[in-house]
Amino acid sequence: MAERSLGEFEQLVLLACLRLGPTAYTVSVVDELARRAGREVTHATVYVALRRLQEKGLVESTLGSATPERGGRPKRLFRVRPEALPALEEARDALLAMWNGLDLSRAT
Amino acid sequence: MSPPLPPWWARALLRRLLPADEIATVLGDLDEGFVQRARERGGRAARRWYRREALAYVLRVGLPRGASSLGATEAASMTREIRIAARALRRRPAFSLVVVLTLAVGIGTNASVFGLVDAVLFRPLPVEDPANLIEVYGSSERDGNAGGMFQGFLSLSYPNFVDLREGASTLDGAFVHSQWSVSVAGDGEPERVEALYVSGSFFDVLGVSPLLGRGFRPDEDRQPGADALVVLRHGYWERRFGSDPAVVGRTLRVNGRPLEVVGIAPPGFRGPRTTQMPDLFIPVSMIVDVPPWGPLWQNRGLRLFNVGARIADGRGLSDVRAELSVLGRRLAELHPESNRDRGLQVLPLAEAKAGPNQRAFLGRTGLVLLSVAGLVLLVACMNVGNLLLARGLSRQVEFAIRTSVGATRRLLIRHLVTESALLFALGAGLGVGGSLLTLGALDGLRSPAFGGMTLDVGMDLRVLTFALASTLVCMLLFGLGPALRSALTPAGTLRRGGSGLSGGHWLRDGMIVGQVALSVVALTAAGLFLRSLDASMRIDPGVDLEGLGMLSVDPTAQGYEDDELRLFYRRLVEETEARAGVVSSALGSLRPLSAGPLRRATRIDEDPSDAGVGHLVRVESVSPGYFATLGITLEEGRLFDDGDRQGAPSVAVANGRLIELLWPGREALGQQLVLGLVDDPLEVVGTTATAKAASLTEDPQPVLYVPLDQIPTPAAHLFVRGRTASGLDEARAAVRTLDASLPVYGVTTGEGLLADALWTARATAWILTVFGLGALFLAAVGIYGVVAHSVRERTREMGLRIALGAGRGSVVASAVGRVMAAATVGAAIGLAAALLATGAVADLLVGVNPHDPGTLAGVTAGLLFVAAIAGFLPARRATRVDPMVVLRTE
Repeated sequence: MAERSLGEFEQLVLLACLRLGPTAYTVSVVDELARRAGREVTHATVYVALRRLQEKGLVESTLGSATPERGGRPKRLFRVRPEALPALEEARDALLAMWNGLDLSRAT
Repeated sequence: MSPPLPPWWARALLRRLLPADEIATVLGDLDEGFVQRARERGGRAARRWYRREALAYVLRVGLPRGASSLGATEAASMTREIRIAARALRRRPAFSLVVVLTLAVGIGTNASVFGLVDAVLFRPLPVEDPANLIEVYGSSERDGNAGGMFQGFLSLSYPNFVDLREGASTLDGAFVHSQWSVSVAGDGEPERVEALYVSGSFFDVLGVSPLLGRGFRPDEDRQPGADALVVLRHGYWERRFGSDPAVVGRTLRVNGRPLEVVGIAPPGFRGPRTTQMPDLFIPVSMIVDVPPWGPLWQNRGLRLFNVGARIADGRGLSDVRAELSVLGRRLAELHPESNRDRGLQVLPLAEAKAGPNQRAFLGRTGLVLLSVAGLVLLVACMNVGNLLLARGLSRQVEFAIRTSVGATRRLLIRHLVTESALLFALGAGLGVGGSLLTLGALDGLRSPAFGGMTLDVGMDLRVLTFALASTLVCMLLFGLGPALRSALTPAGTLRRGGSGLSGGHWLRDGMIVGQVALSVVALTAAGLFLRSLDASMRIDPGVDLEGLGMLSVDPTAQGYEDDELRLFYRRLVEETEARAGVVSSALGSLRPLSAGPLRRATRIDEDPSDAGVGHLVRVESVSPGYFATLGITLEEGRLFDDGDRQGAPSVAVANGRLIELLWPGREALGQQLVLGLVDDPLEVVGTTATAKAASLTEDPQPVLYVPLDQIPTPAAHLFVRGRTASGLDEARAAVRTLDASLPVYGVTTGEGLLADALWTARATAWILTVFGLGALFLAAVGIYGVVAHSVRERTREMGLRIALGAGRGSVVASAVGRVMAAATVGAAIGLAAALLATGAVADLLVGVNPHDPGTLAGVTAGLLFVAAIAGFLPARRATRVDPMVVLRTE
């Protein structure tokens, strides 16, 4: 599953998209990452991650509505595709397995 | 109020760099974020955010896209273009070599000269916010030209500085700085170095943070002799201590006093002067250790200090000038004995950093050098343009063939531009390399001019940028034109055998005219300065320097004082003269043909504390044998002898100029004068002729000789004249015999002193000569190249003419005739320009008329001769062609 392996940031982005559901786009993902994961990132970083995920076939995008705030420009909305779920679960399981039983206060 | 908007340029940039189908959504996302932040945190914060976001997009999306869109094919095709261009250049190795060398010479010399001038005049000092720093000087109504360089900027005394610091509300922080030679011992050989005595606030006001340790605190300059600290210059720390950080905290003995090393200055910092490089920074209260003036440093009449300051926030230079002019007047009223007729003047640090009294001279010299270097670059570029054009024109047939088999004009232009660019790149690379070596060789050079100017030059970003920028400009002006021109092949050229395009003649003739003109100016400048140098070398200094040896000692730094010092001096002369091989020896306090401190001399009937009387004179403390050793002849009265020692009546010997100033039209012998503020009058017992004192090109200067035993100086120069050689070995041995731990420095000969005095004139003359010859060489090569190609073009025509009976000679003559016509016009223009240019630098020249007809005529004739040869050779070669061969190829 090499070409489906997920970087740490890509995982965060995917999870944010899952949480946001149909309203996932660059701005909302940036906000969600800041609010929930405490990660302040630029639009460009999320943009690049979403495009990469799109190339890997893990998300798909559609054009959404325009608003006056956006100068009448449409949004590009992203939706997580089912293909992404096994990859996410695999990543989570790997991480949890490594964490299991580890006590950081006695680790070193 | 209209709502805040995102920066338009950021949006434009994004529009250019993003993929077309993403522009709308990305800009929309950013707009949303912008509006939200504008609402929450205001327009400025929102704009700041937008800029950051746009930059992130540019870096992470735009640039990678741009790079990859060049793609494999684009990169490959660019490499191919370069390879084709390189091949084309390799096919004509002589041509390519000449062009590259020509460009290298032009760009290299320009970069070198710029590096030199920049280091001294332009480059901002490595301090914080240099634009807000100024220097304050005294101004005087009276002391017009007290000698040579002086432009009216006087140092200030310490009490005046304190009044200035307390009283100026337009200044935020001020400091003094004063450079002196000191002896350093401890952790190595004793040596003499330069030390800058500064206020405690020095580093703070300049905004300079030390590399290691600390600077000085503002209060560390109050108690005389109390702040035994020193900060080392970075280069000195490298040289003497091998960059050992453990030096901080160690002790250094400076003039006998132990000072604690508290810090190392950052690299590149050398104080507020670009022409000096002090090795030590010491709090000013320690200046008491520097004889003879040190202990008197707080005397209001003793002007020892330069003053720097920072303009307060919200104030400007004119505010400072206004306030200080009032302050100066107030000080003159409050302290008339020292400040009468004196005011305060202000210079921005940017103008003062080369030394305020030297700035005008250095500025003019710099301008001359830059102008000439620029001229040479211009000549080089015109040459190259010429050659490229000629070569392009001679490839018309090739281009016509290529066009006829389908190559587009755009492709041809691209090939030619690539070739030009490659030539310029190679020339610039070679030139920058050469200038790196030149600047490296000049770095650290100590010029004896202006009492030891030290250069700190090198290839840095500024010089590199200048070199690249000038290369780019030259390429755009001179490289592309010919390339584009020659690609504009009109149809039908093929049929006519390639001789169709004749419009190039005007351009080529124009370039010959221009180059000859520029060469005339450059060579005239060189010629005049060479003659000026020659005239300077023949100036009679008035003292006999041939066969003289000189070395310097600083006994007070070793602890000698008062009677011990006098005894040392007397014994030194005795010891030296006792040696076999020594004809005579003497001590003097000042170096011949070198600037020295001036003191005020007033007649006995005048009030010496009145700052409005008296004259500034050069005072030399000498041993009795000085006059004989240096060949100064007595005119009236007597010279010094062993009886003129401390305790005996105070005497002096005056030169002609001094007598003119103090006792015009009167008998000098027996007259009395007072030096400075000392009460003890001196009686004139002898007079001498007026010799050159501080420089070879000065107006006559007043000089007063006093017996060394009566007015001993802390340091002195030992002069020695040997039977066969200069006697320096004997002199050194004498010093060692008396005191083996006393450092000896400044060892030189009379010839060396003369050479030092001529240093600037010599350097200028030689630099201009190199440039002038370079210009001549370039012009010659250019003419040769142009004629060669022009004649090559017309080979068929010439062959026909010869076949039809015209003599070869007449064919050559017509070719040369064209060149000479253009060259003559060029020479005429050049002469006119040279007359204008040299008139402007007339006062830098010595003993030669700036419009000297001999030089002008010689240069013009020489150039025309060279032009004739340069035109004759290729023309003659072309006529060797067999007319039958030419006709057959038709």
